Amino acid sequence: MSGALLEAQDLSRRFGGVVALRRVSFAVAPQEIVAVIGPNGAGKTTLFNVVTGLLAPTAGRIRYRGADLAGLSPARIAALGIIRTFQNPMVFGEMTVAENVMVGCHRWTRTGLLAAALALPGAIHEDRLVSRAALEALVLVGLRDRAADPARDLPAGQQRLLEIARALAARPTLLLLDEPTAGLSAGEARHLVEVIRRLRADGITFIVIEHNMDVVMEAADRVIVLDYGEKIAEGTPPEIQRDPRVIAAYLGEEPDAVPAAGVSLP
Amino acid sequence: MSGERLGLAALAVALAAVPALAPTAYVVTLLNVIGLYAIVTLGLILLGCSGQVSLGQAAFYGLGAYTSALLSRDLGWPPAATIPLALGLVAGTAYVVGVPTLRLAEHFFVLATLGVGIIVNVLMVQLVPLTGGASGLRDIPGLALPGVRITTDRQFYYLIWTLVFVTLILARNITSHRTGRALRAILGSEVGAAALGVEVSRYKMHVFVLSAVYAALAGALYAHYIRFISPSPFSLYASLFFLIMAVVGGLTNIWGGLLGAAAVTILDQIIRAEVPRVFPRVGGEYQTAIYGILLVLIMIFFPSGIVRGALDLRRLLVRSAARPAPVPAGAQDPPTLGDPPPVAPRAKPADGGGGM
Repeated sequence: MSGALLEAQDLSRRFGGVVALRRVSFAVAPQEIVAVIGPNGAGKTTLFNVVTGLLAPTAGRIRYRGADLAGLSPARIAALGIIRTFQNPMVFGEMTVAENVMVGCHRWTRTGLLAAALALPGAIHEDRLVSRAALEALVLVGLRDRAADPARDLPAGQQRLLEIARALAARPTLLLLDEPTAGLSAGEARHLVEVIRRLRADGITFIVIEHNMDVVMEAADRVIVLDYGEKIAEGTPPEIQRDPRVIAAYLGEEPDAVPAAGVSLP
Repeated sequence: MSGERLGLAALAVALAAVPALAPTAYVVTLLNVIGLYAIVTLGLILLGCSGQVSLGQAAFYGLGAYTSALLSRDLGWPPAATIPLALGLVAGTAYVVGVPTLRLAEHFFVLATLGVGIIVNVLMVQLVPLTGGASGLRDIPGLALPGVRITTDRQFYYLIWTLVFVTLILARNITSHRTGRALRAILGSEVGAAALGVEVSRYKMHVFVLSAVYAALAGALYAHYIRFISPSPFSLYASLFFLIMAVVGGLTNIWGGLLGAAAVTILDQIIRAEVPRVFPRVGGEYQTAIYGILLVLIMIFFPSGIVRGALDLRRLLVRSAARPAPVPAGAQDPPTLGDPPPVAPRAKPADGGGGM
């Protein structure tokens, strides 16, 4: 797939004797919404960690817009426009909600130590821009009212939304969301799906680790299924729903033991 | 944030009036010392904003003092040139120290700075031909800036406190803009900050070098002010002293730097003067012990520094006083680091521009 935004090729990652990812290959096209699903411990978060440079792959490579990401630091990869959220939100607890999102703007702002120290007009101007962008991102996820509160005061679900707002403020090209709807109410989750769709229309590409099958079915163009570090299936949501290997993985059976037909997802 | 500006202006006016009103020369001298310590502490607090702690700050303080003293005394260069040179040399030293040590995890970084502090202090004692060894360096030239000679306590007072204000405002500006947010993000979560494109190690290096330069500035001023230096004020004990000032002030609170330096210095003076009177037969170690106990108490009751502690206490009192009709939390929020984001009234949801 030459038009791919992100392309992973035979990606493997071991931790000692444990294989967290085994020869995983996939490609993501611009403005696609790809869901990554799989049982706990399937390697989903490891995949995100490898793509964002937090972990080096043991083998295989990742290309982003045709360029190899090997050896780049997480900050460099973020600078290229690949932004992620974390399964356990990494909010900056001592900072306010708005300041957290302002850090998200780091990628596309330039004020350095000296300009800041002297409060040069450029720094002041940029700061205004940044606080406006931060508030816009907070409005989008519905956290506008909490802007001035310390981030540590937010409940877990809202910390997740804060992290998403922060990631959006970074103006990502590719956004990796790790279980974005965990801890959200059904209504909040639905709203988030809407937001994701709207942002896709604006040009953002998404890879989403998601457990909530309703969200996957509703939002994803394509689904990648991992099990024990291997990609066992890939396809549209309806295809995945019917795939016997996927059903087996979720039911905890060996693929060989799956009857040829007549099984549907519970 | 006009409240903060007002406070700054009021403090400036009060400090400017001190020499005229001060009952004794002792007050001016004490304030000079506090000012010098405040500059070092401000550097430590900048470092603290990024979650780092240094136990080697006295080494940079001392290097600044010795460099400027030696260049001006032995080579006859004017202090106006030797002070910037000392700052440059210390910046370079901090960079070289930082390259290997900043990669280390937090507590190992602290140990590394501790090691640097010890090495520098040993060199001051042992390099006798250069540093004069334990007996120190005498006859350091006073400050002669172009046009003015600064010699008296009172002249130094104005110079030192002008520089305290300059370094304070620079530090405040840094913490309230992009760089400062990045530093505080690093304190919150290095992984989270890096995932947003913050070059964590670069920022740590910048702020470490800057904190060393702050210490060097205070050290160089000290050398030309006292005109005699020896290794003892730059020992490990001094590093600890600076760190305590920063911690008492609140390790991430710029204003705390000023208060921490003042509180600890004054406390130290009181203990030195009062303990021998109250307990005539105890030695100097007991003074240090009492001092330690007081600090432990502060740490227990005001773990985030006396400034934050006092503000929290006030908020608590205000809240309990206003219990029947609770005031919205944001309304009486005390000034803290950085400008709070402009927040428009809740009723206007969509366009965020209203507050700006």
